[in-house]
Amino acid sequence: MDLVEVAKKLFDEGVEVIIGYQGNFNVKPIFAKANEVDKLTFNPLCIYNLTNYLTMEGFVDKVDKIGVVVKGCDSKTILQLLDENAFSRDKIVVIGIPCNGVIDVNKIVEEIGEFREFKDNEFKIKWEGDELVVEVNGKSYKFPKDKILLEKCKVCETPNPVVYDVLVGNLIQQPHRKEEFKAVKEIESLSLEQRWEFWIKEFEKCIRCYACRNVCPLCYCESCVLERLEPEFVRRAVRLDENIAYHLIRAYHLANRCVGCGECERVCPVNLPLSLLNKKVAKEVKDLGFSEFLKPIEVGR
Amino acid sequence: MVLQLNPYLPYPAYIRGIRDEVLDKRPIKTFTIELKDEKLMKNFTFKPGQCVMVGIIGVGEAIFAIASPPNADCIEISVMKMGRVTTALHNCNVGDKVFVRGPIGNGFPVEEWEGKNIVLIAGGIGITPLRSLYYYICDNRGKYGELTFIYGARSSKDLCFKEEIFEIERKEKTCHITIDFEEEGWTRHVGFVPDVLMKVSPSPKNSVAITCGPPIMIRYVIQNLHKLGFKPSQIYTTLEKRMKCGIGKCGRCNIGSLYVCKDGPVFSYETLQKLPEVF
Amino acid sequence: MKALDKANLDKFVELLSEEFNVYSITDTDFSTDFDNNKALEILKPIKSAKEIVFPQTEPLFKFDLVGKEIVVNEKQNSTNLMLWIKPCDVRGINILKKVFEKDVKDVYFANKLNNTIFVGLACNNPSRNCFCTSVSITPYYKEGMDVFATSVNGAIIFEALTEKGKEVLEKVNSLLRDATKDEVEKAKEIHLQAENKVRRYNFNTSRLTWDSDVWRISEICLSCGICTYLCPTCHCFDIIDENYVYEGERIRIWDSCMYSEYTLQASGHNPRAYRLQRLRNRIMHKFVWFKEMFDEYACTGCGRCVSYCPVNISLIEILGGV
Ligand SMILES: Cc1cc2nc3c(=O)[nH]c(=O)nc-3n(C[C@H](O)[C@H](O)[C@H](O)COP(=O)(O)OP(=O)(O)OC[C@H]3O[C@@H](n4cnc5c(N)ncnc54)[C@H](O)[C@@H]3O)c2cc1C
Ligand code: SF4
Ligand code: SF4
Ligand code: SF4
Ligand code: SF4
Ligand code: SF4
Ligand code: FES
Repeated sequence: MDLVEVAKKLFDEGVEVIIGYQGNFNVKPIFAKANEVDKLTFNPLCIYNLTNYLTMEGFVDKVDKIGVVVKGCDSKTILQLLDENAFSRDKIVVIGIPCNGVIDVNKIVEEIGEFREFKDNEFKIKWEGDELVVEVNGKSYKFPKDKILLEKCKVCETPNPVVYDVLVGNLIQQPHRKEEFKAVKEIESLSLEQRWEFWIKEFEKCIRCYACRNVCPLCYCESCVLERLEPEFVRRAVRLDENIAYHLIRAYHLANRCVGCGECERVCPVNLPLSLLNKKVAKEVKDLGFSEFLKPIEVGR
Repeated sequence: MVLQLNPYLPYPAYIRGIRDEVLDKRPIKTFTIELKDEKLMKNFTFKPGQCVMVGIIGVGEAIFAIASPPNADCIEISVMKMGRVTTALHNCNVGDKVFVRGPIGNGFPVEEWEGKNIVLIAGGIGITPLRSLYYYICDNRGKYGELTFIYGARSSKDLCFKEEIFEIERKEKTCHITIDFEEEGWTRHVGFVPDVLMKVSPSPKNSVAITCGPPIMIRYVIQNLHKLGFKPSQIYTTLEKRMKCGIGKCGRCNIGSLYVCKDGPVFSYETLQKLPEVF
Repeated sequence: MKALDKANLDKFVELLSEEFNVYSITDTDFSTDFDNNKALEILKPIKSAKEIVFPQTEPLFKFDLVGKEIVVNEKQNSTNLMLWIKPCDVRGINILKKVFEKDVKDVYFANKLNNTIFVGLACNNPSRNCFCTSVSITPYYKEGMDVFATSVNGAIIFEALTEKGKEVLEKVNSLLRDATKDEVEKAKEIHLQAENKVRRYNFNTSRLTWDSDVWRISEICLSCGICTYLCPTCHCFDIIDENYVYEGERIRIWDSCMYSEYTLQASGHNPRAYRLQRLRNRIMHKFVWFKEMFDEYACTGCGRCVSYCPVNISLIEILGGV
């Protein structure tokens, strides 16, 4: 069954809203109601981790049954959230999609080099083996996977959803990729001063918009320490020292919880390498003898 | 009033007196504040309904309606303990330094109201701007018609300016004080302000009604004023939004294209009617 | 009109730096640490130029926590020069000027603006999300600039627009020559070419009503504030006291109307508790209320909010441009 058929069935079974993706080129999240079921799509531009919405504005409490579309990486968030009792399992129907990897749309535009926005109906994009095939108004472009894939996907250990109620598409049988903390090790090989210099330069750029926090599906505390005035953990002034404090707090609050979905790094408007920071913490945790993310894998119900 | 060249720079001032108004888990105290610079203090003129930003160094600023009449030699504010600044104020002693910015806001259009009957309807701490207005009217009694005063609070313990209110009751022909629920020994009105308003039933003829209090009270008071025949242009109220700059720059107090700090806090209901989501 | 051969670019920047704090374009922002050649090529940085006149964190005054006194130190700033600032960013500053100078003059903003010289550059290569021409400016809009420049092949040609601008050109006069007639003609051609390249939309602001369906897009908004922090015209700020041991500072700091805490009142009541209310406020402020107040849109068409919204919420779509 394809996604729309699956969704139709779920709506018939009483699901009120499905948080999914819409659009071909202009891909966005959608809170689809039954009458919008045809809008639901999935393609290699479906980059967002939609589980973030489950904990936003008390959404789960307002709706009886919610469907949510997840890729392999996103599905790990569901496990983590369930582990933390963020919501009850029977509120949500997990629509799992085995994923060949996602791409940043800007990369495509850059590669194609055309000065315009494409209309959704003139644009097609899909994986064909190790190639990404893009068709625009009949013209077709091909890109090798390694060149265009998002970094996080290159080391993704879980292309198949680790938790789902319904599966759309076939499970991916591919050699297991492995996170070997290459980037972290590279940084670790630098001298202390060099490392310090590297991070200072990055932290200096941060504008403390807190988008990295807001997009993170696992940053959902109702009263975030960052907004607390008494005691004040981080001053509001946007300066290097306060920025460092912010990033340390963020990283440590996510230690052993971060699932590596990469959303924080993706949204950062000034391109801080947040995944590197998260991975560093993850590696540290692993080196201490904890598994950085290893929970029993639950398949279906 | 000459405005400070730098609108963010407050005037040094000190607390001359502190009076407990309400002892509760949300206590209210009235502070008498005097600017350090005598000349400035003399020149500190304002209209009833205008506000001041009162700040404590190292804590921050908060906005309060001025409770004293324009001709007083000080600035009085009544403060309910809510958060950072208000708590710090409550912890102050007589003589402590504070900093004042203002006056802020438009104030009541008292000149426009000359020759009219005045109906004042207040609830809880909402009485503060109306106290300033009341004394202003007393000082200019010849210019205004009849005065009706209605004031209510949850209980007798929650009434602000208790002595003064009872004094006003003795002085004025039509002053009505109410509390929400029966209490032993209470001989005045019992019931919500909007209901007392209906009982008192002031005439809309050549009148303006000014109401200030919690949003829910304001809503019902306005409804009832309608029933009594008041037109939207005869009804005035004050609004409350979170504020920071107080001069129409920081953006947080807007309702549509109006900024409560600058275009308000006093609005006629005629204006409010045209705005979406006022409260 | 004067011209500078690009071969002399390094010397040009060097000369200017002798007298001014020269800021120019890097990938991220306007900075004094920029690459001369790259600065000329990058269309616009991720962050807008507003922070030069309206810094993200700005001390209003210091105070002494022990004596509880305010300490005002009027420090004299040296003059800033914004090199190659783009029309839309200058437009952003023009819009901010309206806000900060209306009724009560904001001295911090006014001082900084007075202290800044704008050497603007026409855009030869507008980007995918530029839509300045739909909000009534062009890639060669000059208002608010002191010097207006156009990059023409191997040269940059200059036009001084103000007294300050003339002084700047005077300063670097030794490097300049007269622009040729050809170059002047070519510049005009470039301007029109760029103008045609910018995508033009027919915005329909009448659909921005209070109960409009367009606000439903707020369902996917993350309240992340990126659109407001990067926007050249957004100017919400907060004022807070920050304390150290014996002294402290009252600072003002950018805030965002997309955050729920922004309007939260001390009583717990929040007039804009929901994302729908906040998104609506941001867009209506720019396209309806600002228009009521100042008879123009508070949008320069820079496209930053469209490019950097993490969930692809597009102003252009909201305004019915697509
Ligand atoms: C026009 C106008 C007139 C007013 N007139 C009066 C008046 O006459 N009398 C009067 O009493 N009030 C008046 N107010 C209300 C008064 O301004 C507020 O109560 C005051 O601003 C609260 O300031 P605060 O610093 O004590 O609270 P804040 O601390 O600034 O609280 C602001 C927000 O921060 C949060 N917060 C508070 N404390 C903490 C904490 N410890 N940790 C984390 N978050 C916290 C609160 O939830 C609140 O949303 C008026 C308001 C307006 C707009
Ligand atoms: S998203 Fe980037 S700029 Fe914003 S707070 Fe996070 S790291 Fe800083
Ligand atoms: S910290 Fe970043 S990578 Fe980790 S779960 Fe949150 S958004 Fe995803
Ligand atoms: S609203 Fe968007 S396009 Fe308009 S000026 Fe702001 S960031 Fe640029
Ligand atoms: S929006 Fe217009 S002015 Fe701004 S960079 Fe693009 S083309 Fe230039
Ligand atoms: S950038 Fe996008 S997601 Fe973030 S607050 Fe703005 S509209 Fe919402
Ligand atoms: S309080 Fe800043 S605009 Fe009203």
